[in-house]
Amino acid sequence: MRLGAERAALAFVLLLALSLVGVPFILRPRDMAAVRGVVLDGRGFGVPEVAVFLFDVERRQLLEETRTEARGDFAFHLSSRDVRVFVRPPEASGFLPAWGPAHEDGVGRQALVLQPARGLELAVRGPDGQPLAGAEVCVYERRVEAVALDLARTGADGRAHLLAPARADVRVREPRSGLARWRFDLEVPVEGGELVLDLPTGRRVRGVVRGPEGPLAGAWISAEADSESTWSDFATSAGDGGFELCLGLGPATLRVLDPTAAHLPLARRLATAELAESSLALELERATPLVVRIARNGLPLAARVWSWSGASEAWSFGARTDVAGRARVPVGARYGLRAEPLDPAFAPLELWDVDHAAGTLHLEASPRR
Amino acid sequence: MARRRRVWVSLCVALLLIGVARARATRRTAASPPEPRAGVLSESASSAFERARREQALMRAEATVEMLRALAAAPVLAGAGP
Repeated sequence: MRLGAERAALAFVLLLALSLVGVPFILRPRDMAAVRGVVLDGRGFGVPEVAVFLFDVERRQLLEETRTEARGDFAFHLSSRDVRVFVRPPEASGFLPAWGPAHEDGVGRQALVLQPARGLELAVRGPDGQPLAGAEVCVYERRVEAVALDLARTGADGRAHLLAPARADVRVREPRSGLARWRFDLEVPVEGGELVLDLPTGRRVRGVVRGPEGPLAGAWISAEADSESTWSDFATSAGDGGFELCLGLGPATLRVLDPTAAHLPLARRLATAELAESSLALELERATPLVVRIARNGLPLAARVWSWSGASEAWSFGARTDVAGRARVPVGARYGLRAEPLDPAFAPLELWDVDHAAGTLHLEASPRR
Repeated sequence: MARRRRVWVSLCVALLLIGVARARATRRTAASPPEPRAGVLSESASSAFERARREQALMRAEATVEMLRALAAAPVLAGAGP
């Protein structure tokens, strides 16, 4: 009899433990994995008959498409682990396209609020000053995270029409050479704007990213030409560590980041002669990954975290915190750190010239003053 | 009798392990945090940060560019596109 009571007590303890850690996942209804939401205008009214697309982010594939119902609702019954919603209203509606939250933020029902669109006429000229046909032009919006909103190719007259927000970033890329030119923080008037972009003469630069263990795949390489004092291009290293960039003529600075936080960031200024070499070798030093936890009153807070490497004078890849508020950044013996909560109501956090110590670094966010 | 003893021993071992794990986690937490110090980044690091943040945001946005390319290449609902 007593043994029966003890068994019952043990079963109760087991059930209690399960309810604390496992049951919410085990009993989660399957329908929660489906993607559903509503498309609203600026006044909060549902926008009907808007095309909604569902993408597989990892494969960059269009999975499904639908239209919003009378009250602006939409739903996809096909579920996948890493999906993202894109809404594209008809141009006559006067609304900008919009992206739903990235998978990590897209919990529950999504509400996409459409912003008014502004017209942007782009004229692209090649190195010879002539209109450049077939160039890819892209308009970006930077709010919490940057997204591409509209994409087009220039016609025979070198012109393209795009939809843009009030403040936009624009990239033009020549399809054959891959040479790109950026314009940041472009103010687009309500009545629409015009922009002329001249592509300079470019050349291809090849290289390999290596760590102490050998070639490094998945590193991010970005280049900035000294003469243009603006961002030129970026690439990701392949399985053998190889990459290819298209740069303007003249010296440039290359920055290399490892998103896995296993290596310190690298910034290297390259003279014209070095850029003319057949293959550049970029060597990254091994780092100690530091776990940073961002919280507010003990609760995890979504943020992006960067570390500063004094040796190479470069910022690391900005790591996004997970559901527990933790992010991993690469550091050396001494480091600087900056964390920016995604909620703009909270102030950024900074640490400077800190000795590395084992364990998790806990930072408490405070409201912005 | 022996069975009951085994049950109690198992329970005690489980509780002991939980206690050790909690104590280790608490010690790690207590050992770590330096106080955040604001406004001490050097000027070069500050200007480099603004540039790094913008570049990285646009590099991450490349996924959305590729998805827009996929959309442009796909057959779209009648009248859905611009």
